[in-house]
Amino acid sequence: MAERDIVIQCVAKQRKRFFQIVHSCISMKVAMMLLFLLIGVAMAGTVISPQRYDVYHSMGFRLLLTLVCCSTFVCSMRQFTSLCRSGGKQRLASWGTFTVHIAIVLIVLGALYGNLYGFSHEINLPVGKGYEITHDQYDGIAEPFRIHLQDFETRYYADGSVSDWVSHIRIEHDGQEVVSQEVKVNHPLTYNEVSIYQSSFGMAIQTQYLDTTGKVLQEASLGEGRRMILEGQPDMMILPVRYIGGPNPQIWYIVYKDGREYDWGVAPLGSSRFVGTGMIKFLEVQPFSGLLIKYDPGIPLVWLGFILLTLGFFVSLYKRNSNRFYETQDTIPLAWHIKRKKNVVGLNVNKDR
Amino acid sequence: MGVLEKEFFNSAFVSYFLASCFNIGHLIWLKEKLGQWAIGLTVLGFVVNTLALVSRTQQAGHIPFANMYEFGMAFVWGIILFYLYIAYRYKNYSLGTFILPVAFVLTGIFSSFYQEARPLMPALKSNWLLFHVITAVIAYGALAISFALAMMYLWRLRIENAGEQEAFMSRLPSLETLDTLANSYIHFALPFLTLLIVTGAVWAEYAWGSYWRWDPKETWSLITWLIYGIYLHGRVSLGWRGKKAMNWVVVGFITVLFTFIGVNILLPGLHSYAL
Repeated sequence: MAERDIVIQCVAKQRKRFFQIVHSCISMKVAMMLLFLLIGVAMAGTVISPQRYDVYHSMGFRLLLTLVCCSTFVCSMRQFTSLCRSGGKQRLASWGTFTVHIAIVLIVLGALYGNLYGFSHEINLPVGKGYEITHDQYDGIAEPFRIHLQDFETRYYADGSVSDWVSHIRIEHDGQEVVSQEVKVNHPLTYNEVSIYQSSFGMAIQTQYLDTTGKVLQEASLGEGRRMILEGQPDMMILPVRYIGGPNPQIWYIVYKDGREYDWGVAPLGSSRFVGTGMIKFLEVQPFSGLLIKYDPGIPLVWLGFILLTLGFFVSLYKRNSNRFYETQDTIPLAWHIKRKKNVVGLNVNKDR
Repeated sequence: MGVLEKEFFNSAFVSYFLASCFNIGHLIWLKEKLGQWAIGLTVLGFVVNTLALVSRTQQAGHIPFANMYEFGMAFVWGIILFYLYIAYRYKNYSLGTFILPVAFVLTGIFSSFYQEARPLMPALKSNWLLFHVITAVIAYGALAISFALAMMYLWRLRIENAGEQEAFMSRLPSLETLDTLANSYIHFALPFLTLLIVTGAVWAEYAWGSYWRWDPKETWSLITWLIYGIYLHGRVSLGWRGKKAMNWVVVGFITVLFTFIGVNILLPGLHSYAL
């Protein structure tokens, strides 16, 4: 019997120690340290070039965000249990604080859900061409459809500055037009929860690499500044720098060898130039529109989080304020009073003499 | 009137500078006349600042929130509006000694980023622009006031600790009041600071197809929000009061300024047009 008591006591001690450790881990000081760390790492991320090290997508940063999120969740659970027990004037303000913490967790969960089950893909679509959104390529879409770029135009203000970049998009389903809309910056098109955004634009240059007999070895549609590694010559690349319009349209190009600039020139459309053991030929140029295709199932959760976060802050801080200040005699009221009541103002301010 | 916009803003700069000098003089020599001049010049500065905003709107053909110069005008306008409200309602002008220098320095900085008025670029052609920038004016304006109050606190504390009994001390609110006021302005500002980030994120979703991209502006706005979050937790849970809390308020506003001005100059990203 005594032995059993000792075992029970030992288990109780271990449990107590475990809860002490858990309690210290979720204490306010630890939460504050996590926030300090998050601030420090976020600051570092703004000065380190993403090409060198992408801080915000690293495992370490994700782990830190997870810890902050867990700490916030545990904190809100503790608030919830004490809220259920307590009452009084600060009750509404405390519900606001609880809502803020829950909202932060919702936003992070929404972002995570969107990252796991959504997609975001950028395409360069030449005018007159189409692009298939299929189940194979885009997991999560309700049904496949086709995006067709009817036209792309740049609109200008009277002073000559750019007013809008506009893609005239047609959505086709089973060969039938279902939606036709202008897609502009700030005006995306959403079809079956998939959104299409105006992202960039440029000129697509139809580029061929031929052997000396004129046989086509390689063909690609390249945007200005995009490189193509030559077939059979992995150490060589061609880069059409810019399309030069006018009555005799030409392409300014650069040839790279072993990663270094090797040659450059200007070639009229349709003519060929010797490059390495073959020839390069620029066939035609077409304007293209850079479109971002995005599906994010986490958005409703994130938006809900945003609404709760804002409401929670207003309730938490404004209700708390209205209860905190009181009026004393011989004072000049200086405090901002959120609630326009006579008794919600500041403390001992000496009168201006 | 549109062509006079730059002159209006420069006049506001001069008015705020003179008002700062008169405010400081008022506190040192305790002459009522100097205080009256200070408030008169502040009102004059506010009127010409308003005229600068109106003429800019007329010239650009849109609300003047498209770049740092335009938003800067609105930011300073918001700070002075808050200050005039406090001064008028509570008949205490001592805050002007600390807030007017902030306004005049900011006016000078924003004037140096002057740009010709031009139509809105495609990314800014959205109704979200109005909500986003108005929340910024309210949040940043109130945080500037909390900063001035914290500076006042730290100044008074230093004099009290040195054991000096200056006559002007009677014109300053007590340390306890300053601490409470700075805190209440932060409480007023933070929901708007949150709304500022939220409206920015929702707008970015419509404009760029992503509500968060870790762009330097976005990241620094989050850092600012977290710094004030730490302040709130420190105050509520760890009992931060007095010097410790006020130092944190100062750090918070420096972060606000870096987010608004420093990031545009040093860390251009998706918001590079803001310069």
